[in-house]
Formats: sequence, C-alpha cells, structure tokens
Amino acid sequence: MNINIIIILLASTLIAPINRVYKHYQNIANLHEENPTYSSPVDLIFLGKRPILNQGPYELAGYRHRDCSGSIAIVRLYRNSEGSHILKSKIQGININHGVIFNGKVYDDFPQLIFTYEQIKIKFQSLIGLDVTPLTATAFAEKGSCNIAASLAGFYQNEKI
Amino acid sequence: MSSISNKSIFYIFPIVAWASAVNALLPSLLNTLSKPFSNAVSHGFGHNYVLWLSLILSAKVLLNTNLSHKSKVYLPYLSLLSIFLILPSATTSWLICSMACVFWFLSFRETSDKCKFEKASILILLAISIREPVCQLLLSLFSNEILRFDAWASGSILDIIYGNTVIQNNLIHKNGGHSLLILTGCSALSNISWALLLWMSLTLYIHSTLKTCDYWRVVGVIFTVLVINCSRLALMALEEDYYRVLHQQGGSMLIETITLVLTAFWVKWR
Repeated sequence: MNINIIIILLASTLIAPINRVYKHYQNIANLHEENPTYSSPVDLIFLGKRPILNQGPYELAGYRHRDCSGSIAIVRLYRNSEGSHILKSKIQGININHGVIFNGKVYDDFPQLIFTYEQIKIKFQSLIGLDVTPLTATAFAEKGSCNIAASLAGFYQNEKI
Repeated sequence: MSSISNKSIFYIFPIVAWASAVNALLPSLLNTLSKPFSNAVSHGFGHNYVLWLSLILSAKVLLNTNLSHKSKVYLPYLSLLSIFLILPSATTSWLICSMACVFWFLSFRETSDKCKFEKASILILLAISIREPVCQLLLSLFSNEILRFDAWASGSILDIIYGNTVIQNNLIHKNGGHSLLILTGCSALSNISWALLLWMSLTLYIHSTLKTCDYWRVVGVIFTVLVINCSRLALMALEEDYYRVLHQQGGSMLIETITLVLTAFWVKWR
C-alpha cells in the first residue's frame, strides 16, 4: 500500500479523533472559571467594578491616580471590537479622552487588523502546545492629564495581561 | 502525477474530506454529550440544525452516485492535510475539509453530466466547511463595520416605528427608553450564512447544479434574513419586554425557524 494512503488513513480516521477525545477530557480536568484581574501600577487606586450591560461579559472598572488629578474607566474586550464603543456612549465630556489599549500600545480606535493577526497567532501557538495568555484589549475613557492609559499599557505589557 | 486507473484510490477524496468534517464536529459534539441527552438534542448536539441537514443532503447525494474517474489524486497534498488534521482545532479541521474539497473538485477528468451529482455533493460540503472560518474572520476583521451596519439598519426600522432614535456605532438609543448594544451573536451575518447554506444545500440536492439565473434568489435570501434580523433588533430596542421575549431561547428559536422557513421559499423546488 502507498505510504501516503497509510498516512492519510491513520492520521484522519484514527489519530485525529483520538486526539480530540483526549483533549476533551483534558479540558474537563483543567476547567476553571477565568475572571478578569484588575491589578494595576502602584500609582493607581482601584475604585471598583460593576457590570456595564444587563447581560453579557462586559464589566466597567475604574482607577484614580494617587498623586495627580485624573481617573480612568476601563472595559476589557475579548472577541473583537463589539464592546469598544460602550464607554464612548456612557462617558462623554469635553476633557474625556477615549481609546483602546492593546499589546502595550494606546490606539484611538480598536485595532481590528492587529488584533485579528494576534488572535490567529495565539490560536496557532496554543495548537502546537505553547503556553499562551488569552488575548484581551482594553477600552478606556480617561479624565485629566495624568496619562493613566499609557501607564496602564506599559503595566499590561510587563504583566502580560 | 500521472493518470490513475485504479478506481478504489478515488475513495481517498471522500475519506479525507468527510474525516475532516467529523473531526471538526467532534469537540462541540463531545461537549454536549457530557450534558443530559435531551439538552444535547435541543442544542443540536452543539451544532446548528442547518449544518446537520446539509451534511445529510451532501452524504445522500454522494451515496447515490458512482465515483467518477479522476485525472489526479494529489496524494502527497492529501497526506499533508491529514497530518495537520491531528491538531485539535475545529476551525483548522473545517479549513482542511475545504482544501480537501477543492482538491477533490479539481481532480475530475470528465466535464460531462456523469459527475454532476458528485460535484453537487462536494459543493455542499465545501459550503458547510468554509462557512465557519469565513464568518469568524469577517467578524474579527470587520466587526466594527458589520455591527455598525446592523445598528444602522435596525435603527432605521425603529425610527420608522417609533422615531426619536439615535444610532451611535453599534448602539441604538431610544430617546426616553433603553439602549441596545448589538453584539456579535446578534449580527445578521451569522444568520445570513446559515440561510445561504440551507438555500445552497437544498438547491444542489434538488437540481445538482447552480445556474447563473439562480443568483437573484441569493439576493432574495440575504434581503429576507436582513429584514427579519433587523426587525427583531428594532423590536428589542423598542421595549424591554420585547427584548426579554425575543432574546430568550424560545423567542430566538422562533425567529430562527421563521428565517429558515422563509429561506426555503427562495429555493426552486421544481
């Protein structure tokens, strides 16, 4: 029998299904609820968190700067840009600065292309068994001139949040 | 790759394509099987009922046809795809299934009507397998634009019914009422993809081919689903009571059923 046919039959009808069944039981064993963590740099005071919608995964969290007059509200984004406009409608004002923190950088709008690229990269890394942290972006609304968003971006980058 | 006369080797195409589909279905199927059986049935064993129906139609067409002669078998490519199939990811499996279908389709030697049933079966399987990766990619790359369009269309309907509607990105505000944030799960794109899959599967099952004159029916399907989905979202933005009814499982199942029944009207039955 041709070697290619042996590979095809073995891989697609035997090894692949067995691997999925094994992965399924491994996932059940490792199942745990993942809640977002709201750790922050030492110069920020955590003000609390609450759901921002009646239903859905989105939570609003707030921080105030210890030494400078400024505060920030954040919403963690998971799938895509769907939750990135919540803060723009909830928190409006002349001195409010809106944006999105992702991969240690601050963007004016949700970076769809870069986020998708990173999502594909992370899925591939997890497929080949590498330890990866789930991808999150953070929408923010900042008041004051303390540049809290940039400080949070650096912190998230270092802590791999 | 020389011409191959041993017909049994042609079974390698359906084996790779269907094994990929089964491997793509397995993760969600296993998840639902760990729940009570009635629960698993009501959730379509982790998959949409349209997907099961399309798979049955594709298999039925394939089982009623004799596999035709092929000019190429692409064995090294198929074995490479099979190796990638070991990676335990549903999306990867669907992509491999699509590629196997493409190789299967390219392998035909004859262009006669003899292989039209086999081609119809491949096209249904290709449509099933390409749907999920394409939807995922679109909803990641263009989520802003897609959800904004949904909000604009639903907001426009709400404006006709009620007036005083403000649309802000993917948010619909009813002045003096509540706001509705349109999330990925509520987008019309997913419903359109299921409706198109249903339409294509039924059309290929009945006629074994898609004609150019059928494509206006595709426009009809898209328009029907858009109207139903946007009307649902507009009603959900109108009153919280409507939101609760239409967002619960019973309400969303009713809307889904109406969508699929109306989609079936766009199929040319004779």
